[in-house]
Amino acid sequence: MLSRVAERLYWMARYLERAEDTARLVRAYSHLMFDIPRSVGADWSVLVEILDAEDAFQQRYKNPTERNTVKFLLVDGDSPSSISHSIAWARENVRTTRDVLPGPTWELMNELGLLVEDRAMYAVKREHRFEFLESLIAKIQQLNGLIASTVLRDHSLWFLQLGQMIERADMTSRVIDVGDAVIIERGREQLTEIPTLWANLLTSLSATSAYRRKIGPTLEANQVFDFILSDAQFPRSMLYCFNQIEEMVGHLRGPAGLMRLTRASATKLVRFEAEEFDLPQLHQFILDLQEDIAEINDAIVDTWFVARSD
Amino acid sequence: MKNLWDRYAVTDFYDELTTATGSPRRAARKLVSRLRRFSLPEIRARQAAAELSIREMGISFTVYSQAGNIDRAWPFDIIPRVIPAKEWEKVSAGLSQRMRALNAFIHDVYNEKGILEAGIVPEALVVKSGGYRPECEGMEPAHDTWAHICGTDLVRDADGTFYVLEDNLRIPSGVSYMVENRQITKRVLPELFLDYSIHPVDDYPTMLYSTLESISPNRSGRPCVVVLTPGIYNSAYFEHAFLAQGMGAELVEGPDLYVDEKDRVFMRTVDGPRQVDVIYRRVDELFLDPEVFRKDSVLGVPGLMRAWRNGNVAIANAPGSGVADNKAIYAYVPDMVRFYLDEEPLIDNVHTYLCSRKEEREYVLDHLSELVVKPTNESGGYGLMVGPKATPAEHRKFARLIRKDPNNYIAQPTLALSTAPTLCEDGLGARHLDLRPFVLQGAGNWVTPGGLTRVALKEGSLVVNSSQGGGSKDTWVVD
Repeated sequence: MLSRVAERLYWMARYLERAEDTARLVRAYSHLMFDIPRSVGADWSVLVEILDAEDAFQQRYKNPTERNTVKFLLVDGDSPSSISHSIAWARENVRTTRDVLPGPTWELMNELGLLVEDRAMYAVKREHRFEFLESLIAKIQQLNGLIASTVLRDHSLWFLQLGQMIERADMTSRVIDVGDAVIIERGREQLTEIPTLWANLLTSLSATSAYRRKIGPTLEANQVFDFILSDAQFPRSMLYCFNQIEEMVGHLRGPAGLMRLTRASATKLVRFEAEEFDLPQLHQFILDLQEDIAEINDAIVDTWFVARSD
Repeated sequence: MKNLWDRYAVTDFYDELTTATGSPRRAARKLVSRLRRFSLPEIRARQAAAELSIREMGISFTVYSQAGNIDRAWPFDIIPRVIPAKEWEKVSAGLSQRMRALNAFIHDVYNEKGILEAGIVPEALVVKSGGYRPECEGMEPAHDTWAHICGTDLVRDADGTFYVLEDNLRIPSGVSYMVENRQITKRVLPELFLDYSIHPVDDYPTMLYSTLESISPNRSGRPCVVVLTPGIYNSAYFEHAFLAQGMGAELVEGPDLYVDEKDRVFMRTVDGPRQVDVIYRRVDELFLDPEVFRKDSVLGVPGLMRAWRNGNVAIANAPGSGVADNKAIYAYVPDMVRFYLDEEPLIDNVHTYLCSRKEEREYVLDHLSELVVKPTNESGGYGLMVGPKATPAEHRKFARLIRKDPNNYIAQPTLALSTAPTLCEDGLGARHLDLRPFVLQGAGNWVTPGGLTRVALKEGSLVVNSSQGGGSKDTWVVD
């Protein structure tokens, strides 16, 4: 496979995963906000913070109102955090890698592009929002299903999965950090008063059913952290993502340095116990993981995407 | 209110679906009886469904403009064009014959030069054709074949006879749209397929692959075939990706390839270099190799010509093929058929006046208002003058151009291009069209059943190019 094609596949998977995760996040957060008593006042700025997009947001909008925030995340084509931006770039990457993807991928990708083009703007309003987000998530899953069931088990799939897992690890770390930030703000003792926060956090990661089956229906902060960060079986946990990245790097016969990097992050997570951390430490732990992800990404770029003529 | 079909007005031109009296042609009868059942809103709904399919299938072409490149949905008219298989057989045989003669000519020009020595084609014309490449002298590509893919433009005149208007031997495009048009018709007018056995067109990528495989210098195992594109912003990128996917071949850009010190071509893959055997190039030959042709080219591969000359890689179409793709050389194709194949041409040229010949030039200068004048070395409808539609000032301008550089111009009579019913604002209207079949030649020789029909969507217009308001139609060859 050409380096250029590998790079586009990697980014296509990242953008698709980012669009899906952002959709889940907006959906879960909208649900959460609808539950919050009017007296408390809804704070939509958290969504922008999760995506580290405060500067970009402030350049365009004055107030983090629901309308502004959701518009920013759904349809603002200039903002790299928006779903429409992610889908446009995913489509551009499919357009330029059609030769290695199954035929229907291109058509599904176009349907996805048309969905966003035609309907994302209406989803800024509450009454159309969920319908749009559900369709979007369903279409992306259809695309992922197509890829999972028809792509050759070769470089095509490995680079796609590498991109998907890097992006998922990154998004998961961002979502879990919000829980952390809210607790720091309100104090750990207040925690029992906002179980909806945890419920929605799990929902936004599609982790609710898995958590119930494995831990039970009671939501407890440390257990949620443990589950989302270091459960080896849940396919959206940080540990699972790092294990997958390691496996893909193995398939691709990646260099030893990159293997070590991935292994080190995974080991860190295997040993992780939320109980042993105070909140600032927990926040730092997550920041470190995000740095690991950035470092792994750079190593991937250096290893495979920089054109070599040796 | 009359149905859609009964309001279709007969014109003076040859119509693809109706006779001069307005009754459907034999091969079109079942199609017409289906169309009779449609009201205008019903057929419009099908057209809208086709347009949605085109957006979903992502069938687009790029238009270059000052405001930047715009990706436009492919313009498609849902009323198919029908050609009886018996008639097509003759056309197909003619195209195949012509392709063999053209390849014999190119090979001859770069080797024996028999046709030049026999004085049948003037040597000066060949050397100055703009497509002649001295770098190709003495080359003997596999099967003595240079042009492996040809898009031949055909038109019908008033009496319904097919004529060849142009042989596109450089990098002809449009074949992906031929295949996609059929896909769209199947989706939006599936009931039409109940009545007919239509020759399928979707095996084109397979036939192209077999052609390319047959010219591979590597005879052991599956050859490494790549499609070389100028890049993702090229107007035909959609087609390049379509063909690469259809052949299971890699789609590469110039910088993905390099030539090593043993003159072999490699592509840069994530597992290191992989040797390339056959390049289907969609890059103009002048940009192919900066060592030999344009030094400023970033689309090509330095050393590619060395690799090709040493027989380490096959290139389709071979560099130098353009020597036969020239409107002055075109006039001699019937002579080539006689000279190389000792056969009479099965399909005719449009009558062509060569401005390089004094008598013919005088005739052209006297009849500018009746003729179409074309520069010999341009394609895509650029730089030509349609006499009857041009102003006296344009006539004077072309008279000057012809006198200044007679070798660079030819003229042809204005053809009464055939028409076919096409969905317009207020129903079906007669619109002019042409046809581009594709001919492949490697170890064997193959012609697409039908081809890409391009239709001028504006009433009375003869311009079918999609960049200038042209559309397309599904083309059926039926038993």
